[in-house]
Amino acid sequence: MLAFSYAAASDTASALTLAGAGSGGAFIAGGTDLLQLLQEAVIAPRCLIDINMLPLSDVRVEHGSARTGALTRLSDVAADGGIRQHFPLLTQALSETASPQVRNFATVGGNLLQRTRCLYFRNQTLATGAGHEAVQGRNRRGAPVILQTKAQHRAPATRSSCRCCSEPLSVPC
Amino acid sequence: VDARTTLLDALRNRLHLTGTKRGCDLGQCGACTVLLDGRRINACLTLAIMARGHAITTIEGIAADGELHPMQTAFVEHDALQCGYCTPGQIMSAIGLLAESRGTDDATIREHMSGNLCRCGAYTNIVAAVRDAAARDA
Repeated sequence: MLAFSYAAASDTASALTLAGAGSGGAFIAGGTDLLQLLQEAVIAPRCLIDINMLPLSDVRVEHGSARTGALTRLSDVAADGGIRQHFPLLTQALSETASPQVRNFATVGGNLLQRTRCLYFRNQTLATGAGHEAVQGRNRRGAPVILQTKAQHRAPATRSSCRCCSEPLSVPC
Repeated sequence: VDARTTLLDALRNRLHLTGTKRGCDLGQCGACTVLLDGRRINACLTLAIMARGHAITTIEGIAADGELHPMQTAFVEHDALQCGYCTPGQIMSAIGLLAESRGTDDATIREHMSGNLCRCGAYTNIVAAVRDAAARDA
């Protein structure tokens, strides 16, 4: 690994400041993807900004939708009662992800920002319920991921445009 | 420690706790499994500096008062190893598995021990050991 400094962010504002333009900083949360990229020198940040202390690890399921904090561990999302009841597909998919050890540390945000190693997740037609291409912009920031509840799945609403950005969709969401 | 030091390297090279094994160093084999605040993780995929303030449990820390941990006893009784290199990781992972309160049927054990590879192929006896330890734990 190439040398880097380390800073733990105590709140969101300090995390953003540490990662400001020209800092050469990279966020680290679970690190299960980042460590491999660092080991292979695929990335060489000047500073790692540890964001594990930020209060972003909740799961809320209400009115047929779910919101998870970016720092929620994959195993905690899969085990959440509301997710298990209303989004069993998500629980099942997460339970097939990586290994139990990785799922205990890897975060939802890191999972979405994972460095792409194959094209599978770029193809929306292969991902049931995916509302939009999972790749948008250089860092795929803001790519919406839309999953249907069981009730919605039985009676799918047909949409011709993404509810987030109004772009036309090739599959209903 | 240097910011680059993984938890695995800190355990083995700084603290000389060599029970935690380096296998693939890529988070795929599970030989380096330890418990962080009671949850199993791969020590090769996290930095030592990130573990500050957290409780790390390694294979050296599970025997109490000179008595083997029940999972260790089960592995011995079921001959759940051949060369033994993956065994510390298998045992730590199995302890983590029981703490997750999942089912203890063979299929569940196999699925949730899938993060630990054994190149000797001792899987049959590993599953038997975990099943036995789970039954005693219940």
